[in-house]
Amino acid sequence: MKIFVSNIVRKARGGVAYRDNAVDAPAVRFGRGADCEVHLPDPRVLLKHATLEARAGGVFIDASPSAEVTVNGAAATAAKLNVGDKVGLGPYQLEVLAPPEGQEFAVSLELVRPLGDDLDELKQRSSARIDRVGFGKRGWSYGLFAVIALVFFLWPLVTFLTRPAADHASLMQGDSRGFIAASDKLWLSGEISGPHKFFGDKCEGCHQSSFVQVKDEACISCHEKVTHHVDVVKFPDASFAAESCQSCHKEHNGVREAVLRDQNFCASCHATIEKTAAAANLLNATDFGRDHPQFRPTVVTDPVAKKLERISLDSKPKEMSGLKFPHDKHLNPNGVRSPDAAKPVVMNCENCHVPESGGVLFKQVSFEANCQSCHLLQFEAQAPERRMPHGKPAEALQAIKDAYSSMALRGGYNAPTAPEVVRRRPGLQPLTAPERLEALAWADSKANETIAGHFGKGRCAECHVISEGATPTTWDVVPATVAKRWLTKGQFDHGKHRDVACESCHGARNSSSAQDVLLPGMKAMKSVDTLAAPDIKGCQDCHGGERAANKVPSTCISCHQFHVDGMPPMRKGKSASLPVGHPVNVAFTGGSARQ
Amino acid sequence: MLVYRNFRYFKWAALLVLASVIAYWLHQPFAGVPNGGTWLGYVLGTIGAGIIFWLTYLGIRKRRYGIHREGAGKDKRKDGIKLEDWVSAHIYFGLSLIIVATLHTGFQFGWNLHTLAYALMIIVIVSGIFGVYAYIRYPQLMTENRRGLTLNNMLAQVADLDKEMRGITMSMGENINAAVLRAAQETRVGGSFGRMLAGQDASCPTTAARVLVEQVAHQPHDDEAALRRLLSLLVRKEELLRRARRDVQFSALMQIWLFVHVPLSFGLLAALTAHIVSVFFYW
Repeated sequence: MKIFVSNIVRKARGGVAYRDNAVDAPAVRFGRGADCEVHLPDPRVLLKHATLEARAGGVFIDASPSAEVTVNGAAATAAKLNVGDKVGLGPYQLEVLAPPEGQEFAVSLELVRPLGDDLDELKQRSSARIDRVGFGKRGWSYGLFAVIALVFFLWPLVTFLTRPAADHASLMQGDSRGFIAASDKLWLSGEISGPHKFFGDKCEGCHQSSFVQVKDEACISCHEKVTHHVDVVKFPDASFAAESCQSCHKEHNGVREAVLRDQNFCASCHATIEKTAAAANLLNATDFGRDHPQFRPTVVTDPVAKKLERISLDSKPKEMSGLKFPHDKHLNPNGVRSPDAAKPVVMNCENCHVPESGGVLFKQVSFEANCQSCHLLQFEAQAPERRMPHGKPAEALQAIKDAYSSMALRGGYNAPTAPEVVRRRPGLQPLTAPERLEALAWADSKANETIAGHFGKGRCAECHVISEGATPTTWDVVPATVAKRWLTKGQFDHGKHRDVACESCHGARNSSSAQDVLLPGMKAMKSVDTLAAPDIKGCQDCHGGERAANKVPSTCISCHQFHVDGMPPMRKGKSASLPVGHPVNVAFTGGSARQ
Repeated sequence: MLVYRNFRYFKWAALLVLASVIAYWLHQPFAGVPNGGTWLGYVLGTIGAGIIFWLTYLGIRKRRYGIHREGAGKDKRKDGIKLEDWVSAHIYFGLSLIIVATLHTGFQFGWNLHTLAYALMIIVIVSGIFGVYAYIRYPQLMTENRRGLTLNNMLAQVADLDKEMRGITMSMGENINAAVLRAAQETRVGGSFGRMLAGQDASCPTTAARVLVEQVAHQPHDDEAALRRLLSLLVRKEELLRRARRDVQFSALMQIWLFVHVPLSFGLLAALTAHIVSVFFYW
């Protein structure tokens, strides 16, 4: 087959050149291979890409397997060619032309997709500059700046500014706002203390005005009853008038209470209290372990006058309660006799000393609850059901008289010294008048004998101090006066020490007198035999000062209150004078053990 | 940079750190809780914020080339503060912030703006530490790797090799021709962040072509001389690509930290400003 091939070469400046040649072969091969009739020097072309052949019916193009051949844009493996057809051979385009004279077939051939420059393309594909990727530093910088300013500054600010002011009632509702409405939580500088958490996302509850430190009014709206440290009329220097609540109560320091515990704060005055408050009659203290005065329990020194005195343990104070109570006899390890039991009953502390609910203190010991079951207050063996009422000496004497009168008139009293009328069988005929007189005379004398004797005065005197009267039958019982708490200036929580045996601290087992002030004094956890006299050392065995390394670190407010009960409110009218006769001494009432 | 002026700025920064630590140790914060709101907290916070604002000024200062030369001869003091001073001080005072700012926090952290500012600052400092390492370590490695060539030289050589190989493969089998063509048309150096930092291309078409040609060369072939020539060209191209990619990797490593350092510094400026305003807003 003879075909005419017109090579079209487009010049860079726009001109077109034609290089024509004629090929004569049975089948015209197009390809990269040197043996092809039409050589296509491009790596994208196969060695033998396609073949043009005249067969019955026309001229056909046959693509080699896997060769990229299109006819008029459609992929083809074999096709009959007509004038005007465009055949793609890889990057070349073949167009069928009307054959000139003497030729059977004619095509034009053009490289329509020439290879690019290797270096340019390599550079184009390669990216070696990190700042050409992504947004670049500048974009990220401005973006991050804007995001943080919006989320962490403007959003909380807008939240605050668009919110109504908080009042006490809205705080007390304690409902959570949710994160969106409480975006100023992003500004939270630290976890809010446990007691304040229930309104913790209402920042404006305390932070009432921007750029102003939290004012006392915000605190007082809830804490109006917080009391002064001292009687500010007597000790104006300790009124803390220049301080605000938050000088001591720092919030946002975690869930612990926002309470100032530093003993240095207390020591700043109490190291030399005589300089700031000479009239306070206080001793200096700076550290419980190293520098704390001896305990000075408030004891009853006169039960009749109910006189209380604060006396140092060094002076061996006695509790003159008007009671006689030998702890040692009651705590006898072999037991004590009991009217109900055949065998002796072994007693222990809890039989009488029952913790109050809350466990800080103990319920007051009472005759009815704690003594009566053994101490029956009987006075007459032949009338064991007759008992003296407790706590009312006059009624007790009357009860004795009534008992003997009744027995005398009834008869049947079995004693050789008693008159016949008293000893007669009861239930016979009624007494005559002289017999009644005789019986009552005996009853009177027997009652007086009992009242003045072992089963009357003696019975009371087993436990009570007796004040003698003009005659043997006109004595009286000194009313018992017991200090509910000896250490009234501090608070001791028995509940916190419930796992420590009573005897580790209190030497009751060796105490034979109710006058003993059984404050802690022993070496802790030692046996009863090594007891020492009551002393602050009894506490210091376990407790040290704030920075104690190998003892329980105990700061001043572990035992003492700053806002002392009974003082007037601190912030409402802090310069106002105290009400007259406000309670200060709290010995009998025991004060309030808890804040 | 580090030993500049016999560690002058190191000494100043160390002094600051030492003073901060001693003050923190001696300070008995009221209420027993170390906190940014104690007097020492305010002092450390003010120093820290001052240092941060001053250090970010380096970004402006370093662009003002020749500032000290303008003043030369006229004002001796101006003459003294060179860019090297700035960089040296930037490094040491930046490091000192780790201590100063941590003490300022009183070790109180939370999910809030304040800890965000702290965290941003720490990331900025850590990225800066990497930057110092990169500037010490990589220039030397780059010089060794380049052996006198620039990256453009290497790429130009690669392009030349491609052209030469194309001439050889023109008459070779379809497999080899296609592989070499693909190696020429699809091989690339660098690319995305990941490719630049990887420093290699696990699916490099050039390597694939070299492996193919090696396999073919093991079998009898009618044009062994051309095949050997092709193989040696491919190996040379591969070696050039390896070095080019390492070069891109080193320059990427020398710059990548700035993509953390600079944007997070801006984030830090926003967070720090918000932090300062907010703590006094809710005083």
